[in-house]
Amino acid sequence: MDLVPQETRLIKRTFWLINHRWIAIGAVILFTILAKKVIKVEIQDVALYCVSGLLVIENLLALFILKKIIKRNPVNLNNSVKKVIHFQIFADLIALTVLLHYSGGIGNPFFTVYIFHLVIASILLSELETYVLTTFALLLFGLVVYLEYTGIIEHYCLCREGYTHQSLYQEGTYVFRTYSSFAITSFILVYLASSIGKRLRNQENSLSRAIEKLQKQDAIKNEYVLRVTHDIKGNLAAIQTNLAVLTNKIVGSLDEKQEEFLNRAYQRTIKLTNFVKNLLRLTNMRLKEEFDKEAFSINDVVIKSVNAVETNAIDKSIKLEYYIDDSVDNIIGNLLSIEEVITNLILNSIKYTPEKGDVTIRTQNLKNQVLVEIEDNGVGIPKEEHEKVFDEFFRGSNVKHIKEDSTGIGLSLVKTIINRNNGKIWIESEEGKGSIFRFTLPKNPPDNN
Amino acid sequence: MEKKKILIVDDDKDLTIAIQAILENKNYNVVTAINKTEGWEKLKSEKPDLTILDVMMDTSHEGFDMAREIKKDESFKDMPILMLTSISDVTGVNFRAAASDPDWLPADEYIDKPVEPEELLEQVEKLLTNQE
Repeated sequence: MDLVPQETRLIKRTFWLINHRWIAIGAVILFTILAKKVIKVEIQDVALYCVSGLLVIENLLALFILKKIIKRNPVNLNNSVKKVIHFQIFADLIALTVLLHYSGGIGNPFFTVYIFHLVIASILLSELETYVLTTFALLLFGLVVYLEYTGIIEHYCLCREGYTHQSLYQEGTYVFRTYSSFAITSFILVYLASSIGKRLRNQENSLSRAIEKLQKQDAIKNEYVLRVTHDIKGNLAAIQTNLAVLTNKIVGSLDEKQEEFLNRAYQRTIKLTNFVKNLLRLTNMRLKEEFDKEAFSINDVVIKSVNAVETNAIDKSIKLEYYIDDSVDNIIGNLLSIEEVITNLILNSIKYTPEKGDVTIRTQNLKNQVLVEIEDNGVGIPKEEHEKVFDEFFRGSNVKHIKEDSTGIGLSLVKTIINRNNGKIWIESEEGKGSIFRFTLPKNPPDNN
Repeated sequence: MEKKKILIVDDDKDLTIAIQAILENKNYNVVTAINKTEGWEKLKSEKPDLTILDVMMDTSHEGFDMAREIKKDESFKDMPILMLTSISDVTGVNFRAAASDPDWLPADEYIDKPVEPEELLEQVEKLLTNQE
């Protein structure tokens, strides 16, 4: 779930309100035309078009003010946006009342349209504000009904041409019954809608708070891992260098047994150091908020990486080849980390490919992205493990016993880097036949990584 | 031929003693210091041909600070500096790539910890040869 601040939510809903008002204005005009031309109802169309025109002005005004508020971005954005909402809903209620007056008053069943406004207010505003608004709406409607009933203002009948005028608006019992039941219904509806709205808002807020807390805790954990691994690495560096002094016979010769045991310790220290180094890189990558970006050629990076690991392939008599697509454009990204990805993936393929196997790297130009694939005919990965390949500390069930020096972090680091560069990585593999790692990177990534 | 003198400035004594052994085995004369202050004292009294500096000592950039001071000092600015670092893992900075900017990183070469004897000797020899 995205973390949407309350203010953003309010602004989004205000735009939603404005957009829906256009639909409402359209509906009023359409109904007026329909009533006048098709059903042949005696309707005050000029007055209704005028009110529609005023609604258009209201909507444009609200849009203009809202955009201005967002542009200025003052501290109390929330209050300014709320004022715009208040203005709109009050203006809507007045417009609706005028529309109803010109289209039959209490005799027009569309007076229930007030309910839409009350529901919208329940969602957007506080409980108190909603009750004030409901009272205002009922007073407005009540005033028109009363003035029409007493004959102070004219009643416009919603009758078909040639039919006798209905006089329901003058029947006291009917008017009272209809009005009071509508008022009670309105208040109950507002009560229900507000309490549901309030509950949802609270849930949404506590969810956002929980997510925020989790993210903070995750950052604290990562920093902790960073410190601990850094300390471990410092000690390991001293151990490894001291062991190197012994195994390189710098301070004197060793007998066969001594050399064998020391070499074991030395090799395991190297393995542990590499593990800690990778863990540090991974944690660091996750903690770092910004990445230096530059434009570079992915083809050049592939060639450079292949050259860097060529000896590893030669040692196993593996045929290491690359096919680059000359049309591949430069991309914008973090050069060093992407170089690390390609080198890691090639080394990974070499590691899990038996002697005299093949490892092939290809690049391809896509529309807004570049594609890089690293293919081998090595041991492959069982299908059910494809999704887990990029998990931290994961090692394929079919290679656990083959290779002792894998840390289970390399591919996790690769995926983190690709994600940080706004790319995607996936795998295609069949056990015993080989694997293809494919990743895409955008040519022009968005700035907000 | 006179033995070349190398100063090691590092607060990790266990690491220093190992590096000292590697260098002495190749007939270098080695002096050590555990921080910047002692480093400067030894620089002045011993006048080494090369200094090996750890980046992180009392502060995370003490080695860098000292390297900058050395490069500004008339009597020592031509002495090569080899920087020892494991800081690249923390900062994500690739020191080798950034080494082309001498104002920012004033050392002549960088090697990552842990120190491999072969790599260390190769760098030391290269720096001393360049100096001649």
